[in-house]
Amino acid sequence: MAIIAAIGRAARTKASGLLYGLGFFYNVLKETGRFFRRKQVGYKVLIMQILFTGYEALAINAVMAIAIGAAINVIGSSLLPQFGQSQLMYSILIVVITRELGPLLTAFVITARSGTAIATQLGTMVVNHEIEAYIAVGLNPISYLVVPRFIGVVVSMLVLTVYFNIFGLLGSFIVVQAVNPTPIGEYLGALMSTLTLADVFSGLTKALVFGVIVSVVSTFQGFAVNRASTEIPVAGIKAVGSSFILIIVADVLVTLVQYA
Amino acid sequence: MKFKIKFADQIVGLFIIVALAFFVVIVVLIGANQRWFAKDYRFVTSFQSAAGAAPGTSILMKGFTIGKIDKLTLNADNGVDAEFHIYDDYYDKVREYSILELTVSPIGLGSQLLFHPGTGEALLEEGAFVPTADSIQGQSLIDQELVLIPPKDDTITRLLANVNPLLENTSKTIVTVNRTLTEVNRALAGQSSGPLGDIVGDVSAAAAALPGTMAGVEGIVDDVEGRVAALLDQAGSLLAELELIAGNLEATTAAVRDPTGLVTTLLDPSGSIKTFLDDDDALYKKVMSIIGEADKAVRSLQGIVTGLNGEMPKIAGLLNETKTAIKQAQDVLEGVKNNPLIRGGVTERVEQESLYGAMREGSFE
Amino acid sequence: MPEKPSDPARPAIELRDVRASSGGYEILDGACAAFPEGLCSVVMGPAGSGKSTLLKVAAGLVPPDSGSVLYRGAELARFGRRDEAAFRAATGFVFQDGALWADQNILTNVTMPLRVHKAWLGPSAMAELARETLGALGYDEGMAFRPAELSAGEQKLVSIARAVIHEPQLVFMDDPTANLDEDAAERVYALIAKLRERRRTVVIVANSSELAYRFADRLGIIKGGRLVAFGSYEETVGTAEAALSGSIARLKARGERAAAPEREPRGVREPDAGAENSQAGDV
Repeated sequence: MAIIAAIGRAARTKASGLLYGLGFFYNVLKETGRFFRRKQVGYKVLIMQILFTGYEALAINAVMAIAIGAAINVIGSSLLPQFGQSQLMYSILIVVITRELGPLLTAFVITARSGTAIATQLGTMVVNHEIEAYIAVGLNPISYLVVPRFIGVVVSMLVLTVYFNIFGLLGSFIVVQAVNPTPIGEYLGALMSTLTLADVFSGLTKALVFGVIVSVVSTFQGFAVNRASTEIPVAGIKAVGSSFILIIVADVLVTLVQYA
Repeated sequence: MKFKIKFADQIVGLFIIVALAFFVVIVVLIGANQRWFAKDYRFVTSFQSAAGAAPGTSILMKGFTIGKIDKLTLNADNGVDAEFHIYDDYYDKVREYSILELTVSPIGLGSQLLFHPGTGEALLEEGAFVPTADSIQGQSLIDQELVLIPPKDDTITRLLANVNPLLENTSKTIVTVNRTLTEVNRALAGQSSGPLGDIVGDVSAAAAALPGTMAGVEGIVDDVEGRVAALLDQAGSLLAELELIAGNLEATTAAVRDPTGLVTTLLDPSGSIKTFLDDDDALYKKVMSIIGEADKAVRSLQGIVTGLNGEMPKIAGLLNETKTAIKQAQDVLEGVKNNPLIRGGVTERVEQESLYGAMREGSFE
Repeated sequence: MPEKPSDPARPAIELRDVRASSGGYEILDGACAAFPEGLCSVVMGPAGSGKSTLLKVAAGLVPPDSGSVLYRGAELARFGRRDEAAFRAATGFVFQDGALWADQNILTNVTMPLRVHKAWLGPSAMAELARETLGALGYDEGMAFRPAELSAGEQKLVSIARAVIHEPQLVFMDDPTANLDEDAAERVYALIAKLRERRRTVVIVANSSELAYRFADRLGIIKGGRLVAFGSYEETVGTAEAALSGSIARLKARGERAAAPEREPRGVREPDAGAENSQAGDV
């Protein structure tokens, strides 16, 4: 009986945690709607968030994109003609760069960089009563602290995904010229007639969803810190762990929706 | 203050604007490549079956994509109603009596939806019905020659279309040649009662009588020439047939050799089709050389028959040579016929997986 | 939210049977208190008795698990966005540990309430106000420093300045003189005296009997998460529970207060209209 009670208690805790999380998410969305409708004190926070999450991650994002794109280019242009399927390279490039790995890897980078940063920063603020201080002066922590981070991370995700595509599709082409010259016109023509708007929007949809996940999970975990400073690194770890899992699940779901 | 912090607004602005610009450029490029901004003319048609067609299937004319299928619906009469569009660049091709033809490649290389322009003057109105080649309406247009149907663009289809009649013709010819040769052989063995047998019988009789009746030779040859006329006719029609075959083979071989053609593209990797057709054109060279030999042999036959009187001792040897050549031809053609790829009109589809299978086998060799 | 002149019978802040917990520990256990409008209430109690939590619950920073908190008769928990904003504009809160925003400089920290509630002032007027307010408290460091660069005492001063810069009607102070040297403490006393003079409602929780002795119109004793005594200074000092508290005992020993005569709740008198509209820096 004790076991059943324990399971029941655990389930109730989980359910109320989930409800709380959903409530948090709902509040974030509601406050985001307000953010654009009024002059904001959170503007500076938003700019710094994009600078940190988006701009500063550009270099690592570009390196990954070029490396993956170049690898596909080289493998594709040597292996595929053996089956008379040279055109398939563009499809593979697009599926990998635009649809799958682009948003996924960008989300992982952002989680690792900004997810931990957001969670630990907010956790520190909780411990130092800075959150209460914001409430005391009449600033809603969700609209002042969470929403700029939420928008910043989502915007950064979208923008970085576009850059990932640019670097993955074009940057890698330039790199590959060194080993395997192809006329740019032919490459671009074939690429652009294979690339569809559906591919582009699939990638951006994923970027949007992943951005929402990373920012909401990280801020949530940051706020989950109670009082002890030892909880702060735990919040960072939890933010990364939950974000990764949710991102992968969401990736599968979005892909299923698009291909089903 | 750090540069990055001081100019945060500018950096972030640039960061976003450049991405937006790239995004817009990409979208415009996609649009330009995928004709979002061009007007399309919409028409309807109906198929017996939608197998091989799907929304997005290209409509081809002489190898150019001139439009695409938009929508397929199974209607109440178990037919398939289709909506399709033709790009504005090609709208002037859509004249009265135009038809569509859905061809499904027999060896699993997908399907093609061909557009055959009508000979009418008037352009079809948007929304008009375009019949398909297998419909009664389409058939009657074809029968009345109101529609221009070019030779099939798909070389593989053409090749396969040619192989069967070719085989039929050739084996018919071979049979004919063979029968003739048999006749000749039998005649040479002196067992025949046919005309050539008579001739040869007469010839050998004459030859036997030669030492004695040298003066009678002229008469005998006259006699031979008279009787040989029938044989010559036979040989002549045989030759015509052989020339036809040779022409067919030339066309097919040319298609195979065409460096830009579909066949070459398909045969390029070490696929299974290549092993059938393209070990340096060996099979076709063989067929060609045999047919050539047969041709030569029959020409010799003709010459021999013509100059039968002068060259009697050579007849047997030459005809034997011909027989061997024809036999080889039979063997080769039987091989061709038995080839699994085209046997029995080729109903089996070659699945995509077989390519990977082939690749894997290849890599373990 | 009621804007009419307050009813003396109705306190500025009232706690009704409030229970609150943190991290699974019950901190407030059915606390009841009514802090009258326009008076200075001081709540004393030993460490861990729930003083800070009581103040945070009263200021609406920590939601109670049960019970209710009323601001001028209206329940805080039911405040909408507008009511909440008006309540925050009318209140200031001094945190025990300062709770300055580490990523903002001192100027931003101090002027934040102005940016939120008096955005029309403009940056230079805000900076001027900040300088005056901090100057009155004896803060003489630069405005561009980050909180981490200041001593704990300086941080406390900045926190006090932040709580009063927007001229709130109601000021909550959590141990305002902790970490302060005597001179600084004197300046804080002066500030509290001025607030009291101008009939602002002040709620202080403290360990220091000095604050109670000087300013308490109402004195409460909190123990084990309950207010065991709450009444006028004299009443509380005279209760039996007071005997259990060392600091109250010390207050008793100091005898009659001369400086701060007992006053009536604010609502009885004329509202101090002039002070409400008073301008920069005279806090």
